[in-house]
Amino acid sequence: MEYKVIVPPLGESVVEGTIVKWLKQEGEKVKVDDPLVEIMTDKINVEIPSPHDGVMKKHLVGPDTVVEVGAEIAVMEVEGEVEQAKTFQVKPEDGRERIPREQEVKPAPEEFVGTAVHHEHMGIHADEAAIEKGIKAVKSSPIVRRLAREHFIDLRKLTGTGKGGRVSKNDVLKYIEMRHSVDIIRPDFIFPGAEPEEIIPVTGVRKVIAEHMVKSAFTIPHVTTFDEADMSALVTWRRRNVDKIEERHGVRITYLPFIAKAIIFAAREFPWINATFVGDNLHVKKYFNIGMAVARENSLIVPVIKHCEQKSLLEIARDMKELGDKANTDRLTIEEISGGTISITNAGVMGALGSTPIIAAPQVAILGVHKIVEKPVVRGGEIVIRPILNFGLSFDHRVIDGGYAVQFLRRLIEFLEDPDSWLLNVI
Amino acid sequence: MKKVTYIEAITQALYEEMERDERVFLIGQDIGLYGGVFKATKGLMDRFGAERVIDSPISEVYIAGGSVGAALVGMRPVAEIQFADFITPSMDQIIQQMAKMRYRSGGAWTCPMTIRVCCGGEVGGGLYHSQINEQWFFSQPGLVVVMPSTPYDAKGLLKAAVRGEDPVIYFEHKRLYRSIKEEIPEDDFVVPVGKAAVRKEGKDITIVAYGLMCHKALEAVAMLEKDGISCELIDMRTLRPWDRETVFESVKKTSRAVLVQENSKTGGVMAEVSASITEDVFDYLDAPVSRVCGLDVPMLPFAPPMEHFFLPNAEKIVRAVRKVMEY
Repeated sequence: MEYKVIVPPLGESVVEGTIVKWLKQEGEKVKVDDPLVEIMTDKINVEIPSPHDGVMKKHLVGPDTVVEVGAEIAVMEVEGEVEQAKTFQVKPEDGRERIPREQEVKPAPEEFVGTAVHHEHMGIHADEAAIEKGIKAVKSSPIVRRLAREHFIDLRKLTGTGKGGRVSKNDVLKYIEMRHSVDIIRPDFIFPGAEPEEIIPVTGVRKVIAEHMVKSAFTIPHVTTFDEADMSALVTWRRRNVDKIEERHGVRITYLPFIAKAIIFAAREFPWINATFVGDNLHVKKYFNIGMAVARENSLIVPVIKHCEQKSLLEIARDMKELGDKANTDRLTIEEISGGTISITNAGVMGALGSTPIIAAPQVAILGVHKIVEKPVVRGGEIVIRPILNFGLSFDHRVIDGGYAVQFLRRLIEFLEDPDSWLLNVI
Repeated sequence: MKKVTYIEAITQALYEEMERDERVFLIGQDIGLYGGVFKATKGLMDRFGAERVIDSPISEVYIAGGSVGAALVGMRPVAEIQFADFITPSMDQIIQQMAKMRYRSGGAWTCPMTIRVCCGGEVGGGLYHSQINEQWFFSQPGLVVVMPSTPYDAKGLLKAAVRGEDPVIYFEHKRLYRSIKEEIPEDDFVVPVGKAAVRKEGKDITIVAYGLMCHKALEAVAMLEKDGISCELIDMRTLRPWDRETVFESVKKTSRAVLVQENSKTGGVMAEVSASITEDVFDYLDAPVSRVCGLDVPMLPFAPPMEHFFLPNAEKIVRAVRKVMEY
C-alpha cells in the first residue's frame, strides 16, 4: 500500500522545520528505522526514521523547503496493510500558534508512539504560557484553574462533561489520572504487553536461600579483601594443554581446579582460613571440602567437592562437572551439598570483575573468582599487557584478622602465578 | 449507656449542673410547678426547690434582665424562653446588656448565663409558635449561639454553656424533643463550643446544616448515596463562633457545597457561611455555593401543606445537590 510520510512532533514548541536533505532517494529500498530525511529545526537537526519497511516512492517536497509538523512530505510503498499516520495541523487558520500535544500524537503509527510519549514527558510540564492560555480559553471553575496550574494542564486538551461542556474538577482529576497511567504504561516499550509490576512469591528453595543469606550476612561481620593475580603462566599452560587433556581424559579443565589447589597450598601456611566457626570454637579443618557455587535457573546451589587435598586436578575437574550436571538436573543429594570447609564462587564466568561474596556459614571464608582480563600492568618499569584475575576474599572478621586473610590471598596468588613449582605434582 | 430523648438529655444536663454547682438556678415561665410547657424541667423544683427553679411572671424582659443581674453578682442563671417567637421583648436586655457587658467593662465583668430558647417548625405551631430567630443573635458580637441536633449534643452543649464565662443563646428544637433517641454516656461530659461535627464523610459534595435540618440532610444523603453521590454532612452545632476550619477543610476536599437552614434565606446563617467560603476557599470551588432555606415570608404557615411548602426537606436538598453536581 501507499504510505504517507508525516513530519512527526519534533520537540516542545517546535512547529516547523526545514528539509536539509533526503537520505532515501526515490526508488530506494527502505528498512524500518532507516533515516528517511534530515530536518533542521531552530533547536537541532533531526533524522526522521522510517516507520516501516518499503520503498521510497516519491518526495513531495525538496531540500530547503519549510515543512510544518504534521505535514505530508513523501510517499512510500510498503508491503501489506499498515496503519496510516494522520496528518495534523499545528497552525490553525486563525493563525494562532498551537503546540502539538498527545491528542495529535495518539493516532500516529506505533513506531512513533515511543518517541511521542517520550517527547510528551520531556515537554508537557514546562509550557506555562499554554496553560494560562488554556485557562482563559476554557470556561472553568476556580478549582479547575487551580488544578490546571498545579498540574501543568492545558485545559484546551480536555473534553468537559459539565453543563454546556464545562470542564469540571472531575474531568481534570480523571485527566491527571490518565496522564499518570501513561507513566505506568511506559514500560510497555521495554516489556511489550506486560503488567507494570509482576509479583513473584519467594518460596521453596528461594526462601531457603533468602534465609541463609540473611543469617550469613547479618551474623558474620564480613570483610572482603581484593588482590590481583597475573595469570600469564597458567593461561599459557592451559591453552597449550586443554585440548590434549580433553582428548585423553574426556574432561575440559577450567581454572577452578587450579584455584582449588592453590587454596590448599596457601592454607597450609594459613590454616584458619579453612575452618568452621561453631559456638565458641573455631574448627580448623585438615581436609578440604570446597564448596563451588553453581548458578541454576532462578536459584543457586553450592555442591561440595570432598577431600580436594587428596584429589588430582583432573579428579577435581571431573567432580565439578559431575556435581554441576547433577545440580542442573536437580539430582544432588544432601550429602553432596553439605560438609564444606571453604567456598569458591565464580562470578567471572558471567563477566564480573569484582564482587564481595557472602560467606556460607559456618565457614569463615569464601573466595570470589572473577573474569581474567587482559590489562596493562607494569613489569620492570615497562607497561605490558597481562591476563589479570581479580580475587575478592570475604572472611569472618570475628575469627580471621585482616593481615592473616590478606597474606593468605597473596600466597594463593603466588602459587597461581608460579604453577611450575607445583603443577606436575597434582595433575 | 442509656437511650434518652433530646428533651431528656436537656433535663439531665440541667439536673447535673445544678447538682454540681449551687450557683446554677433556673428561671422561666411555668418551669417550676408545671415542669415546663414541654416538661424540660420536670421534677427539678421538687429536687432543688422554688428558689433555684423560679416560676417567673409572663415577662421575657424580666427573665432576661433578671438573669443578667444575677450573673453579674456571681450566679449562673439558666433562663428559659418558652417559644423563640416571644423572645423579642427581651432583646434590649440580651443585646444591650448581656452581649455587651464584658466589652463595656473592659473585661472586668462577665455575664455567664444561658438562655434556653425553644424554637423551630414542623410542629403545626403556626406563626407564633414555630419561629427560629437564630440569625438575630448569630450576627451579634458578644454572644455564643448554639443549636444541638442530637441528644448527646443537647446535653454536652448545655453543660458547656452553663460552665462558660460568656452568655449563650441555646436553641433547642421542639420538633426534636421526642422524635429522636440516642445512647449517651452516663458520665459527665461536655461538647466543646465552636466545634462542628462531621455526621457523615463523603467526597463529592459538602452539606452544611444545623438543628432539625441535619436530620433532613441525613435523609437526603441516604437518597443521594443510592445515585452514587457521596455527600459529606457537617452539623455546625455552634453557630457563633462557627467552625470555619471544619467547613473549609470539607469544601477544599469536595469543591462543592449546599448549605441548609430552616429559617428564611435572606440574611441567614448560611449567607454568612456561603460568603466566607467564597472569600476564603474560592479557588477550591468547582460550582457555585447553593443554599436550601425557608422561604422569604414570615415563618411559619399554619396549614400543614403550606408548612411543608415553606420548610426545607430531603427532596429539596436532593434537588439542590443534583443541580450543583450537574454544574
